[in-house]
Amino acid sequence: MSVLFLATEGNQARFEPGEVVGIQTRWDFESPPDAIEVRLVWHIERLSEEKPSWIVIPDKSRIENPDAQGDHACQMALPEMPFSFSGKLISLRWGVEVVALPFLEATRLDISVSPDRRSVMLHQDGT
Amino acid sequence: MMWISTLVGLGMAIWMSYRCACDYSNVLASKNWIETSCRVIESGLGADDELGFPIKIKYRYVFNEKEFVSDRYDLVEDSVAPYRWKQSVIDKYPVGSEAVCFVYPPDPRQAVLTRGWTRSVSRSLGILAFVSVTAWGVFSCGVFRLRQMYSDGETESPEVGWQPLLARSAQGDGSTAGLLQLRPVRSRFQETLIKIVKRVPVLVFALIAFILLYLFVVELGVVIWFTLILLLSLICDLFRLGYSGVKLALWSLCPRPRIRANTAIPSLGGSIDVEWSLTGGLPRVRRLKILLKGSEQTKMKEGKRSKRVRRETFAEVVIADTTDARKMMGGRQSVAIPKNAVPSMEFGKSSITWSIEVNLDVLWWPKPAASFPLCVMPVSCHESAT
Repeated sequence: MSVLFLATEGNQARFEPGEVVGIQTRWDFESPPDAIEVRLVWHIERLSEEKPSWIVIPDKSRIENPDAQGDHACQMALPEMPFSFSGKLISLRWGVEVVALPFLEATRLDISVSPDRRSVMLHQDGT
Repeated sequence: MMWISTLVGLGMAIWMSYRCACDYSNVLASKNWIETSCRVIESGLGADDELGFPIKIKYRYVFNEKEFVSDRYDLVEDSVAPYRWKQSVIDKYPVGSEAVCFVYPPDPRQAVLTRGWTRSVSRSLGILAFVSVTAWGVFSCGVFRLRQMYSDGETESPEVGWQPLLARSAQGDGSTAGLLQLRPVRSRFQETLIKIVKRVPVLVFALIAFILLYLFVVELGVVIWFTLILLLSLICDLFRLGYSGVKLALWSLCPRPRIRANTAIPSLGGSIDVEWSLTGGLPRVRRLKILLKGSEQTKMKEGKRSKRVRRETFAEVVIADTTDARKMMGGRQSVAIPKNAVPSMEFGKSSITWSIEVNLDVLWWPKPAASFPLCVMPVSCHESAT
């Protein structure tokens, strides 16, 4: 059974724009993967759409030809924009993702990015 | 309506093709008919019926030592031809005159006075060409519309992703006393004008198509309801155009709001100085309301085909709300941009927009409104930019 574990430093989930995120990842596969990629991603959720498209930030950490079991720690800087927010029609979510290639096995961790570290609620009623 | 017209048009095109093919095969076959002399025994125009005045002509001829009488003028009966043309045929064949007819050898009872490329074949081909072009035009319009409807989803690429909305209009038009003249996005007046201008060529095409089809269809004496469908669609379009025109005329008489601000790129948590004025206009404005609005908007599917832009306002700050005539004509106000909000952003078919909205309340008048976009920046981005 394969294991792909992902955590942020101190299990922190709220960040400011531009802040550096410490990421720790651990994996345990039956056969070694070609590569392990750790990346920052965000996507827009629309009211009418079921499938969100994740946008990958170009700055990513890639481990080529890793062993079948291993761990890795890296640091990645968040960009200044966009902020995490939640509205009635659209919402923007941030995440940290680790992907094992070519299995495409992935684990994602939700984080929020905004000046006050919390996802901005656009509407007062909290929707 | 467009698809019904396309289907009817295609149906007519197929029917006309069949008719043309039959006529043409008759024309080709008539080349083998035997030329024979004949004597006209009856010549004139029949009584006016649904198809006009039919040609009534009879002639006697001898073929293989047997006498026959025929009443066919040509291979393809053209009873709906103009009266003048029919009269010229009658004048050409007076009673008692000698003429030449063409006899079908296997069945000598069949004979005609003229053969070859007849008037009716030419006309059938003309109608076929016209109907085909019309059907193609309507079909193309339909395909274009479908492409427009379904292209919205395709044009958005997630890789393009987010980019700050540095709207062109938000740059303003130069400054006066430290204030920028903000440029409005398309007003309802402009939107309506564009709609009318876009509609005119379609209407002209529809009008020409209608007139031509009406002439052909009436002449052929078939499917009058087809012209009625076109006529109804044309009347609906003309009515809509007229309604938009009236609204346009009324809006053109309304006072025009002008907005100036100390910046078109304010920051979240910052403030913006807004100066307004009303120029021109005939009707009396009862109330002026100026708002700073933050909205999220996205294009959403409604049903299988249509898409609609949905908008939800998340922040609304009143800059001015007055019924005082003097204050309505001009004023200045500073307004704070909410801190705990999101800056202007664009994500393909979704966006976060900020704008200054001006609403005028005019009695018995379509409500004029104008929107002046702002590009609200996050604090850190703006600071690094300046």
